[in-house]
Amino acid sequence: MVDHLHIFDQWVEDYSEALMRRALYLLSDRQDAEDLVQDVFIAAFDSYPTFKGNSTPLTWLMHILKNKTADFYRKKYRNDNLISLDYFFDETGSWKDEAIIQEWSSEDQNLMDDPEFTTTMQHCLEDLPPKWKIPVKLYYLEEKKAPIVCQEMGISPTNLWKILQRSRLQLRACLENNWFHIQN
Amino acid sequence: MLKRMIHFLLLPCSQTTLLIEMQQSGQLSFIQKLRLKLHLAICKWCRAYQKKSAYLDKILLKNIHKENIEIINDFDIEQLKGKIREKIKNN
Ligand SMILES: [Zn+2]
Repeated sequence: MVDHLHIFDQWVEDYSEALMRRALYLLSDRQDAEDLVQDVFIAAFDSYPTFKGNSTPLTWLMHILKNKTADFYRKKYRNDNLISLDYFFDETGSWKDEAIIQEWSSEDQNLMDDPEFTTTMQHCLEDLPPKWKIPVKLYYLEEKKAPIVCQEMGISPTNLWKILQRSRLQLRACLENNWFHIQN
Repeated sequence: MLKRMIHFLLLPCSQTTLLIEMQQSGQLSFIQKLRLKLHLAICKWCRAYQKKSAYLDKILLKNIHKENIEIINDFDIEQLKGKIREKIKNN
């Protein structure tokens, strides 16, 4: 037990910041992120005997963080409905938004490496409702392994596709307003 | 019958954008692939959207590993460490 405490003291020292950064990235709220990181360490402390050392401590802690994020998500958004597509499509399901047809001016590698563009993109991502933002971030963190994200978050594949669809429609509109300056 | 077939095959744009998501993740069934292809063949709006969507997908995949870029100051981290140590002790 004393050993165990000693190891944890070192882990708290070494990994708190990395966990806090990831938690803040996923939850976008400082208080929620701090609470989550504390929960991660408590859960890790309790299940320390199951830590086999097959992975690094940080990988293990990040894994617990992901599970805790999924718990948080389920509790918080269980009863929320998805926002409708009315903003983008009319009642027959056709595009309302004429801007869709206009091409983006500089779809090239340069743009991807442009830090200003990256910043605009991050802002657009942060502007998504938290209900969508968390699964979207996890989807890309998991390198688009949809079944894993669904399992971890406890959401159906259909819901994941709908969340991705709505998020991408909104991200597109946000970039067109704030970067490409396409007029409607 | 033919009308019903056409209606079945030609999805509205709203549903087509959902199939575009699934395509980007490699999760389309044979029938869904066919329906997407048919719709894209006749709809320039969805073709334009598909291009933009693929581009967004590429950027997000490339940039997602950036952790939170906000500044978290040392004081906050030290405080957090203190709270965690306290909790572990009292656990
Ligand atoms: Zn269409």
